[in-house]
Amino acid sequence: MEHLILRDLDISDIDRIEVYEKHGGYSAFRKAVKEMAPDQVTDAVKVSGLRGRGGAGFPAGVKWSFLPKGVFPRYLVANADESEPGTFKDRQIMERNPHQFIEGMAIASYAIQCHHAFIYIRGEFPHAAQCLERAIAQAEARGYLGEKILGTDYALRITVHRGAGAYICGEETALLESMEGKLGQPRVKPPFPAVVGLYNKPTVINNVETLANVPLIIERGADWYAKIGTAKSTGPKIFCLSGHVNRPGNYEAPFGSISLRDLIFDLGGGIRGGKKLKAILPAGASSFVINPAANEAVLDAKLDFESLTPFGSALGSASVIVMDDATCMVWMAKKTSHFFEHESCGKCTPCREGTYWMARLLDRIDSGAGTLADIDLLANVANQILGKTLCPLGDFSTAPVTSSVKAFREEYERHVKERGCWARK
Amino acid sequence: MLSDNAKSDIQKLMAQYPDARSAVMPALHLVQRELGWLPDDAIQAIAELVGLSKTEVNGVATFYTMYARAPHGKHTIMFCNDLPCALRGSEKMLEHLEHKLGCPAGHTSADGAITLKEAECLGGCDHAPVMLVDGVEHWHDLTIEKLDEIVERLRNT
Repeated sequence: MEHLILRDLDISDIDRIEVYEKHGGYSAFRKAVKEMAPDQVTDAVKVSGLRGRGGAGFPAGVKWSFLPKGVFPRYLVANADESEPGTFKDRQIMERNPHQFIEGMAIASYAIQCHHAFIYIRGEFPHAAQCLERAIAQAEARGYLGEKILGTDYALRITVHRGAGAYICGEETALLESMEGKLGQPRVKPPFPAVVGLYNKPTVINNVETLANVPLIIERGADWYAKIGTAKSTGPKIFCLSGHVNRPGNYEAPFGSISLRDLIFDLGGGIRGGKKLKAILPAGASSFVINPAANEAVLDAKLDFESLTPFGSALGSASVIVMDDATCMVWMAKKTSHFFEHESCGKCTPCREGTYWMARLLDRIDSGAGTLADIDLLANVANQILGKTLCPLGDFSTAPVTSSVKAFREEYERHVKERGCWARK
Repeated sequence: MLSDNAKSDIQKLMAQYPDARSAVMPALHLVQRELGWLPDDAIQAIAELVGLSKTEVNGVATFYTMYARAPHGKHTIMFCNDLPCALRGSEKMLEHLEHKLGCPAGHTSADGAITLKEAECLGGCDHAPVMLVDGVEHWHDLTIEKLDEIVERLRNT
């Protein structure tokens, strides 16, 4: 099937603007600025059902319509801070199909009448940042960006802003703080960015993949788009597959068209080295871990934003990390806990202290020095974080911990009883 | 301390934003590229240019992991050891690197050639394990042999 987002897989040099144009590129933006009123663009995106691809799945068109009327300037910020362990979809879009993303930004900017848009890209993506700079320069040279765009009165420029190493900046208010030259720490919400955002002005923040979907909606129609996927999760989705599979990579498929079994065993070529599947983190390090042995039906649920909920998990950004039967679940939770301990920005005490103590407890249990009481204490500490922080990082840090204690409790107890890790003996 | 070129580049950066303060992070990147790290007087100079206190600029320079407030080796390796890389052998490779360089992660080899840092996820999990050299060179699908080659090359350049 034709790729709609990862078009570089069908057309290898689509990063060149003339190739992108030859395949219909920028015709959607042309149509938007020349034939549509800004509100019509927003309405089309609402009708399409497009939901945010950063993980939360909030309807994009609805987000755009939250901006208060008559307050200018207003800003669009593309969230390219892709930092969730297991996520690498936006990087492929930015490096290999950057114009579709830039065109999506231009259309979104027109819809909200923004004249200066920003891309906040994580510092560890120097190559992607270069690809974007080049794509923006090409778009400027062709008259898609700048003053008097395509003979209209609309003006837009796009600035690439590089981060410098902080997972927290993927959280939208921390991202805004960082854009403003401050520490990347979340703001208290409300007010939401739509009302008080960048430089205290109305601001829309969308993920890269979300914006890359926008040209399709304008070019081929909202009704056409809404037919792709399921009623509640429309359009194509990129699934990032990593870990113990034979063919890790980005796979694009309509929402509701493939299951974890299809993704892991068909597209991903199955588990490496002839081992068996043991556990899945479907949304990167901030997942509730899935134990397929407990309920095999989870492998056959067609993936959309809601389909993993009955199994106690969630799809999030669809960063599927696969683990084989030689993987220790205490070690897994220890790895994710150390990540969140390192990335906690320090603003909220429950997260700053809680991630520290979860990491210490997991170190202790993993090393064989833990007690059975430590397992309950771990759940207790997680509960002291959950729902008690300004941003979701705190909650995220607890997901792999509490879910692994629940799904693999015997493994935790075995570490205590056998004084160490079975997998490393 | 800052070259005239750097100063004029920072002023250009400031003009790119509705609020000049937004130029702090790009300015820190720029100066670090020029000097290799961010000494006190560079922090002071950036603060004066952007119109902030030295404390505010220092806060930014120490919050984000890619900025170096102390001199480091001629080259820097940011080695990813998060879960997706660890599932594909990064822990053993990091040990190998530490052994080869003779220093633990977070330190610089005795010959001053290479600073080894543990990175958080570098977004290359489809080609894990991965690392970033000198903030610009991405290496993926790493093996012990490949690591040895890269380290040798870095030591000699």
